[in-house]
Amino acid sequence: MNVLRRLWYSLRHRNVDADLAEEIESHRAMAQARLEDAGLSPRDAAAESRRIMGNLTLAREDARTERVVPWLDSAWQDLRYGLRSAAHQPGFAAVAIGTLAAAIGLNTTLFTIYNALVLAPWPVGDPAGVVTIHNTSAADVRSRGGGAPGGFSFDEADYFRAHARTMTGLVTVRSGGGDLTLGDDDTPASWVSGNYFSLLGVAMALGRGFAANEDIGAAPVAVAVLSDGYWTRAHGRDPSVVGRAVQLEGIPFTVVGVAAPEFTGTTPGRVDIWLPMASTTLLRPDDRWTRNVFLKRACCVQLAGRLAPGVSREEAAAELTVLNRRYRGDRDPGGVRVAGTQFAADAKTNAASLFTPMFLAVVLVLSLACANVGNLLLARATGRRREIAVRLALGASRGRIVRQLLTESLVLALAAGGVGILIAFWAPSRLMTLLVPTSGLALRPDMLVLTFTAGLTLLSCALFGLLPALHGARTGVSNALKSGPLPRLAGLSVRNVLLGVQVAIAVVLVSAAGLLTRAVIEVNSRPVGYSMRDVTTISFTAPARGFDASRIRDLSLEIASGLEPLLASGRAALTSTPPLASGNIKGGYHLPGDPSEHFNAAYEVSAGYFELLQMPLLQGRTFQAPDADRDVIVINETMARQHWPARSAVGQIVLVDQRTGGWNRPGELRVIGVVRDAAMTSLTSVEPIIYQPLSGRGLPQAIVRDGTGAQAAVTELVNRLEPRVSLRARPLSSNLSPQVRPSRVAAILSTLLGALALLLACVGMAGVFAYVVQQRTHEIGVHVALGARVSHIVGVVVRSSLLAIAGGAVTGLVGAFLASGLLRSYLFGLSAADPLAHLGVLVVLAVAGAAATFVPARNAARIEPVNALRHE
Amino acid sequence: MGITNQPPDLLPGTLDMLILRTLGRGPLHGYAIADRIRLVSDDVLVVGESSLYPALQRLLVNGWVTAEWGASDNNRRARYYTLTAAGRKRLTSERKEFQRLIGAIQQVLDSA
Repeated sequence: MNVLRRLWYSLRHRNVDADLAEEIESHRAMAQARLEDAGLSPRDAAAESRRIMGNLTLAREDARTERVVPWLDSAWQDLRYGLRSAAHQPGFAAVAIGTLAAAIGLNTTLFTIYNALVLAPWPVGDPAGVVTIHNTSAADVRSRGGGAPGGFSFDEADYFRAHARTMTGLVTVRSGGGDLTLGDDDTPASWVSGNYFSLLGVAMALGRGFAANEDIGAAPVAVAVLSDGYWTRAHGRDPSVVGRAVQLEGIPFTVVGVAAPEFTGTTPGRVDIWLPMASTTLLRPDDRWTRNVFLKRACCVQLAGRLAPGVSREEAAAELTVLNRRYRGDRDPGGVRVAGTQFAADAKTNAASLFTPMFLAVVLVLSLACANVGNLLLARATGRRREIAVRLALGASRGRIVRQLLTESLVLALAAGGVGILIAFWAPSRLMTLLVPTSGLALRPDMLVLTFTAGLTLLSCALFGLLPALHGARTGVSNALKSGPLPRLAGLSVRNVLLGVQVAIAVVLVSAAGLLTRAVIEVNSRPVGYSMRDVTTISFTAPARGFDASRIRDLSLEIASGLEPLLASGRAALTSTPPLASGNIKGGYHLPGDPSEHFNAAYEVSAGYFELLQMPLLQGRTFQAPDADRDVIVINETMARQHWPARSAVGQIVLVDQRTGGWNRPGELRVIGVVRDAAMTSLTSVEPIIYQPLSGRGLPQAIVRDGTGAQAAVTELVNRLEPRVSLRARPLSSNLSPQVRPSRVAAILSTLLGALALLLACVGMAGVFAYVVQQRTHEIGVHVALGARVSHIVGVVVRSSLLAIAGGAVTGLVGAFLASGLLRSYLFGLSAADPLAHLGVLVVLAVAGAAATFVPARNAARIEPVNALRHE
Repeated sequence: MGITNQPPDLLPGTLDMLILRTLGRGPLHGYAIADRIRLVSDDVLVVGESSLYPALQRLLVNGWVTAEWGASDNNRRARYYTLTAAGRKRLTSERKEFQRLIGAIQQVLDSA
């Protein structure tokens, strides 16, 4: 109660103080009146009354102490003083706040992205109760016949829905599905079950989500829900869009609702429009997914659901596993995993390995910024020694002084934190677009991010403010009124230790930047095992409707036979998946007499493929036109070595099983040739690969050699055979970019970070040198008077910190070497102990150091010996 | 009239107690409280304003008195302090404690 009363009084401070002054004054007037009655003259009575009242100021002060909350009062005072002193030294404040804001902004940006990917669940109602359900059955994971790994078939989903008591409902989502043509643009679409919006509890900005009766396979309904982003872009946020029809690939779909801005879908990629599952029979009736997964109820769709109240994930997983086993009978034990809805929960890359080096780097930058500002504050504290001595003499305790200095640091930190938050509103989405152009994440700081930033601000304040505060308060009164150098701490002055820390961090970050950049440059010139230059890929896309499997097969055969002369001469070739493109399939097989199954990547290629790409043939022969109907395969040398190390692989047999998918026909396949290894699936790994003749299952892609007229011939042939097919030509080397992209982005980011760290360290060094010049003006004056040149003086100044800088550089190099283990996956095999890179770092550091001496040296040269010798 | 300002050193709690007791007879303003204490104690206990007002503030903050502006006898504006129920309770307990303390000191002084 007392505290509340005190707070109330402190808020009404001015009023209460005025009241007290008035009260005391009236008290004094009464005493004066009494004295006048006793016979004194009015003037004497007034003087006497004042004298006997005692120390009124102290009385008011003591009264005030009784009613205020002391620490709050002094904290408020310190805060105002801190703001004023920052305003008086805008240059210093700007540098300090700018440095810290950059570091805090970096940290917050990274944390925002981390939060959105790894920590935040789906933006739906009551997200804790929503889970994703994954199929861990070995066979389904491998098949990838027509759907996502880890999914279930529709029938299985229905079985769960009917029998699961731990879930209140299940939703199915089709992963992928590609872009739809909406009007003139390609729009990413997501097919979902009818209960998607209602079960997940998605907030709608306009209209409603789907109803259960809009997702019936027998009676598909053409309705759609738009995303907020798409509604803004394509319809200008027009509220009358609900009820209107949009043309999807020529079919009118009625818009029934628009999702709220915070709902960006349940995948990290961008989704512009949601459609009911059943509408795929309207839009893509001949699509393989529609036929196999939707109509024939094969695998797979993604499954998610809401837990029943009070049910844990483990209980749900247990029940679903039992149901799963019951459903499959004795076929395959299956397996069910229930996980949270965080995007990174089932991502292929381990979130920890991706984010750990980034977090380490930004934390290092923050430490660097704190060391920088700490040094600045230390330098400033020596300038304030007189002020502090006066405060101590007036009766302030040392604790009070420390509190005051810390509060001033807090003012800087809070300002920096504010700017950092502003950066975090702007930077994450820009950064994400750079990293992953198809991202649809809404990257705005939420409460967790704000809390993180607040904590970071306080932590950095403690880091950079505590030492100068403690040091500043340690000043002895008599010492401070004279002047003298900064005392030493454990041999090396604190100033130099902080400088060494800064140098070390800068070296680590610049080394990382150098390594990553070199790796990216090097990988672009690495041989891939085939000729990538002057080769163009042409992809064919059949329209969504009117093309069934048999038409596709016929067209493939027609294309293959029409191009035969080009194939034979090696100027063109056909393949299911060009090198380094995504979408290749894996096929399972086993060797005769050995039941163990193997899975390798399997590429469909036509005759002329190896010749066009100039892949060397090691044994046997490559495909020719008649091989299209034969059960033959060509393998690469890794596979040959894997199975037949001692003999020739030509003529060997592998046995394939149609059930595991990926093959054109079951039975025995004979190896007819072995080619050299090439980077087909990825740049860094070399796997065993099987090449098989073209099937007719999908439209192949063509690769042609530039300058031979092959591209024109292919285009003309396909247009003649089937004008409805659209073609797109791209150079083969463009397949390289998605592979290199992560490392390239890492190189760009680390270079930016390294440059920032170098700049900060440079500023830090300049600050320390300037300080040394100022402190040793006397000594420098003597040197100049004795005829020393500027270079000698610079040498003196630098030498004072040389040990710290050298120590920092060595520590940094060691640290960089240790930390490079974290970067291994981005280095494409480049060794971290690359001496060229390290030498480069040292050169860069030396240049930065030299630049840092520029301004202090100029100041030192301007020192008049006479003035310097007079300086006390 | 030699009004000095050197009172014997009172324990801070004692002053609170004296003020509360003085207000037991009715609301008074600050000058009157100091005056009453001085008169009743025969000029022994002279409360200076530098101790009076902090004490009054303390009593206010703890809720043992309330204060109101009013007019004094010669039509001056003065702040009148009134004892509250909590203040009355406090006074009783303080008096008991004070008796105990005095008794103890007396015992020590009287011992052989």
